[in-house]
Amino acid sequence: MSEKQSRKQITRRRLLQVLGLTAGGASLTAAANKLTDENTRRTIVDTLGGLFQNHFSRLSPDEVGETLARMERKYKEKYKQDVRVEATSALPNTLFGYALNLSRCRGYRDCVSACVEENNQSRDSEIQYIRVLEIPDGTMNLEHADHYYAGEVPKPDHFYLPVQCQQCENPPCVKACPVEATWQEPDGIVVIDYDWCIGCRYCQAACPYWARKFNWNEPVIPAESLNTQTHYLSNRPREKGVMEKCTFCLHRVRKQQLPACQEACPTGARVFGNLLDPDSEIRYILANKKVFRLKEDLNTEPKFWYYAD
Amino acid sequence: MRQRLVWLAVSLVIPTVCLVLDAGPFAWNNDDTEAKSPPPFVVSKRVPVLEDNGYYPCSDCHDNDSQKSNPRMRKLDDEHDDLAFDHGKQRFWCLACHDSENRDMLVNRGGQLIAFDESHLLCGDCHYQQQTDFMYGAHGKRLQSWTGVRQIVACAECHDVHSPNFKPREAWQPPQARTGLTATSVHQDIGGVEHE
Repeated sequence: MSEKQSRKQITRRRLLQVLGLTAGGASLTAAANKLTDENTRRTIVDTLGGLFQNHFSRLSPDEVGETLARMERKYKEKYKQDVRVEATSALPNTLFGYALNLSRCRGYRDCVSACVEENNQSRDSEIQYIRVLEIPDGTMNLEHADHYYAGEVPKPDHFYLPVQCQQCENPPCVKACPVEATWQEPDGIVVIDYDWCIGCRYCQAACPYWARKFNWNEPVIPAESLNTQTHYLSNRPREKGVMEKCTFCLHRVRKQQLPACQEACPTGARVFGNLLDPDSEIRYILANKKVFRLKEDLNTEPKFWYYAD
Repeated sequence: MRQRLVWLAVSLVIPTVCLVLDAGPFAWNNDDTEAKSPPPFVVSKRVPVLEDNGYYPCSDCHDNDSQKSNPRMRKLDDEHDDLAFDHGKQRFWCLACHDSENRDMLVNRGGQLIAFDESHLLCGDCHYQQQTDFMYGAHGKRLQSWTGVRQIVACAECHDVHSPNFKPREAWQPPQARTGLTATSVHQDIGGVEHE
């Protein structure tokens, strides 16, 4: 308790730091605003705005609007087309969950393909939010599963287990982040503020599901295949040196649409829904099917269930 | 003696009351999830798809006049020769599901006519577990939205009803291995199959 209090105390040093930064930032922005050349002024204001941008949860509604507009300008310059960046907040009374029928999955990877396109993942890196594991029938050893399989599927005597972010109710990645750049939203989705992430990859080490991926290189997205409908916390284009992960297509599901992987699945193996709605399909599955979660013993409480019938 | 009588009365009365009132530990049906009727849903229409394919209405050709229904199982080599008859390990003939009189309708085991748009009512004659799951949402695929009235695809949208199993096909490209690793070296590490 005393430690917490002492942290809250404003020291003279801290006060001077904050004052100095604010005054410096404000005067630089003001100076930039006076520049006559509109483009130069924009560039400088935007650069400074990005530099002094606060944590997403501490932005006022006005600042959120400014930030989104600045990002749209940045992406427009980079990709030469209009990109929409939204910040839709969580819907009331929703807690998203996923169920996946292992006896239906055939390992086609249609979900992976749709995910890459929907979420603006770099096309030349190893970043894919969904890993489909090919596992010999009768075994359940994830260490011996193969996610680099290729060719015609399903292979005889194998089953397929897609793994993505499990949106844990008790997420170890959130606890591991030293700068609180990742957190759990009210609808249960774990998100990242890509602009606050320092790229330390502690969360990647903490995640037992290999759900978090690091941008080792500058992401490469061909402008023509860019998904221009984006969300601040979800599929807006990322920078080199930050983490990213599956968000259950937060930008879609908060508009009551279905995640891209569900939509792409040709066999209907994926069931997405609101865990708080007693009439939802996912609640029927949880009540009537033999479901399991991955690595339950770790007490991460995933909101991603597997079942077979 | 008296105590015994009291116990006897209690052990008989409580279950009887429970059974009569249909409540408590001896209720007729404790499993309220099973008892709940399925939430409303709308199944995608099949007739427009069939019309687009040029197959519907069937009575355009099968008019029961020039074209009489032939219940004999035979190889179709004039029309419909592109259909694979794998359903039920080739035990069925067309008229197992298609009505022999009203050619624009399907028919179930009990002889009731079923429209092409409601094939899920027919399939459940044999696949009753899948039908229950379909009605409640554990089988099949939802469209458009995760909330509101469920819009779901018809059985025949995913399954070729004449050959219902999903066919093997090429998987989408595998993920790239991390820099410094190749898929081959990963396979050797895990003792898996080696491929190019």
